[in-house]
Amino acid sequence: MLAKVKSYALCGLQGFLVDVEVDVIHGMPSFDIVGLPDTAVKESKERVRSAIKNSGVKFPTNKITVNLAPADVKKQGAYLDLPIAVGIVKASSTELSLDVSDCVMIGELSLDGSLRAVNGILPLLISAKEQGYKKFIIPEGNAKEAGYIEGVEVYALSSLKDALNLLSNKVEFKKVDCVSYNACDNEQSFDVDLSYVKGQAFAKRAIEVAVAGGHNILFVGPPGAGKTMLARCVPTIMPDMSFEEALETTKIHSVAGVLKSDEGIVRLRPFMSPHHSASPISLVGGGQNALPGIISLAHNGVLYLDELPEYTRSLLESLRQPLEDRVITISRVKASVEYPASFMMVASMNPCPCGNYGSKNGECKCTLSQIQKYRAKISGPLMDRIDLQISVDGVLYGDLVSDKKEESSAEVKRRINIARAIQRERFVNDKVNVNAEMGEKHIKKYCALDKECEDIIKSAFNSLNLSARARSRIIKVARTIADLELSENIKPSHVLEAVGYRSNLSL
Amino acid sequence: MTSYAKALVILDGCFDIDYKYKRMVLDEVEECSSLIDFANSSAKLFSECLNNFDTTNYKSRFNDKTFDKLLKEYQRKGVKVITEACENYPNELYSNSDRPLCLYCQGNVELLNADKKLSIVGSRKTLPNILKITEDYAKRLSESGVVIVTGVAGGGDLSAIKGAISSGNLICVSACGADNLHREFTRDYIKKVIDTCLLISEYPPRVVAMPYFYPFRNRIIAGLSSGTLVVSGNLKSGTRYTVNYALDYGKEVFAFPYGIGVTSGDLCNQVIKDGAYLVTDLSDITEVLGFEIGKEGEIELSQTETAVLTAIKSGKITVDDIIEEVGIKVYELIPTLTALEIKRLIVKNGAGEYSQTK
Repeated sequence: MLAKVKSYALCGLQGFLVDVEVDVIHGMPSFDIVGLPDTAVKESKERVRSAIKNSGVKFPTNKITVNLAPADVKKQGAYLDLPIAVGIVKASSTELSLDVSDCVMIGELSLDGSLRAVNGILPLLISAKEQGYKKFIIPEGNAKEAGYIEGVEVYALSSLKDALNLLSNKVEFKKVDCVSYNACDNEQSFDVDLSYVKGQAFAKRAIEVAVAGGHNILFVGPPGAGKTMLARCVPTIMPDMSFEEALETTKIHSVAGVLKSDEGIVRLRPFMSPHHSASPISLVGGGQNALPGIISLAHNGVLYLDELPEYTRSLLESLRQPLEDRVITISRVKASVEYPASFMMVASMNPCPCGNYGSKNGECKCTLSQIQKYRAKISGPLMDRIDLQISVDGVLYGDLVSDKKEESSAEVKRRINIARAIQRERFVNDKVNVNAEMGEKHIKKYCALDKECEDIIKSAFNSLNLSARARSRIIKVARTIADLELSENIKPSHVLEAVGYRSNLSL
Repeated sequence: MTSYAKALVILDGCFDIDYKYKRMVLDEVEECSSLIDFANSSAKLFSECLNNFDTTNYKSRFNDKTFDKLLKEYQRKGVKVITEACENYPNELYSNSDRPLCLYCQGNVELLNADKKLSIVGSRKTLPNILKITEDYAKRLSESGVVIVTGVAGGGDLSAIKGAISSGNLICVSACGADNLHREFTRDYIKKVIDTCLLISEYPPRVVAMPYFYPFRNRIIAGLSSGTLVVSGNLKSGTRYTVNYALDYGKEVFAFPYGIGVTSGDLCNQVIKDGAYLVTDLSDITEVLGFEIGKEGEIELSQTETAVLTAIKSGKITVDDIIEEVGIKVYELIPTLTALEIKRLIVKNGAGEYSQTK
């Protein structure tokens, strides 16, 4: 007898329908799976056989052929265990009559017949929902994730037996409750807070401006200046994720298999800090299955690169295109997949190999050519994409132990939320979201400078030896500062402040 | 050109003979009637003091053909040769016994004979505010007609170049031939120096700099000018050679004072102890050397700017300290600091600390 069961498989963040056709015919007992399965799918034979037996159903001693349609797309992962098993039971069992029409099944089986959680449920379900499917059977472990999708009927089951009972209408099962999204209390979720950072007023203000406008930021300073601490504070002042943002980020985390099963959705903005020995593939994504890399996992969050010059040149250059386009396209022989990668880059570096160049107290032991070589590791085009480049130095012991009240992350976040709201309103008809993403066209349109501001920029160029590329960076940052001050036009003081956010890197 | 001058050019082109011996021989052979005459008398002297001296080969070089070939090569490379027998060889150098045989010049050679020259020398690494002050002094001096003489290294030399380059009153003295300038740290500036100012060297174009060329080159920097300003240097710095040469030639030596424990300024403090002029204002130099410079216009400052500047002068150098001292918000302070930076009154170092420049 022939049985047809619907399931879904993933290609990047997009799910596609897979028809699992099972035919059980008389003949020598055999079990074949056709339709471009990968290793994990081929191995499902053994899991399915044991799972069916251990669920108290007879495994047919006939010739079994399973076809996964469309036959020309490679199917990956163990999502298809459940539909194959259900298909075999439906095709062979005379006792059970299963109603599998319009039900999409996804799940990995273990030998005892229980269902194990799989990666990528959220994007799978979203794609299936878009294509009009309403009823789903998924593993129990993925229930949390599925709860965020509205208007669908999802059953999160613990075993193959439950699935068979549900499909034969023997037992009533409870649908997964729809959970409404609320960005949870950030203050309690982070280990750090801006108020823990003593002193460093300049750097804190720079972070505020950077986050308000979505600008990338680079800290330059000697070892122990608190660069990492400051970077870790960045997510604490970032605006809460909207549901759409959270869903997008969760999709990527789900596909990559890093989603916590008790969380279900990524509520906090991700903070990714890859070590500088990371390979370009791990950072941008790829591999055989074209999985998302760290920059995509940092989508809507922060990518923190500590000790920037220590990263390999090719790795840093691979960041340029995603920084510009905010997506990364991974092309492999079998698939070309696009993952979103809209992150805020926070980086830190020492001013020279020994770390003390320019500092008043420490003495630099490097030669000029060593310093030049060290800094040349970061290319000009990459530097151009970093709007704020600031110097930080360690604080004195007295400041560390002082009881002076420091502003908390929550207060700063409140101001940032307002500035972001202004930007949303401004860019409502444009394709950009924040000031940092503005192109030349938007700068012309939204960043009109009066004569006084122009004069300031001009004299700054003359007396501070700025490069010509710095101009648009300065204007974009000035726009953000104006937004923070709720000022409609860019004022001279905003331009002056924006000029201040450049590190003294010249030799 | 006289045959003596031609002989000097050919002799300077003999890389296998050290400067020491060339000088020794030239002191004996002061004039000559023809190239052959010079070759004969000098070859005799060389063979006396040099082992394995190839007299035949040496003599064969002294003819008009070799001279034309050399001159053509130099012209092609944009290098003008001024020998010590030429009229425009600077007088200040000519009076020194260890003067270079020839000066290989690129750029405006008239600068060599300017009457007001000051050399500014310093080590590669020093405090950023010192570099800024150096640049400022070089700018003001060169704009009022003083020719700045310096090297081509980074740090002190570079800030002198940056300050003086726009006015054109700048002589850079390199320690290598014109072909090898691209190896210098300041190569980006060198092209502009050649275009608008003057770059000289005592070495023919093809010579590659050896480490010991640099201290020896410093005698030209010290010799050319009427005074030497030492902006930075530790006790081992090559700058001390320039100071020693300047003292040998009887020139004035000036130095910036440094704080105790700042190693990049030990040399400056040392030369001040030894009797050099201490410089805290440009007039400290100009009054001694009799230069006249235009007065600087007063810079207008707002109330906040004055308060911030006063705080920095009193030793509050970090943003946190200034905020506490002046009592303004950080977003008010940062624009003020930038405004002061643009007015060149303060300078920020790599660690985010500010120091005054005036």
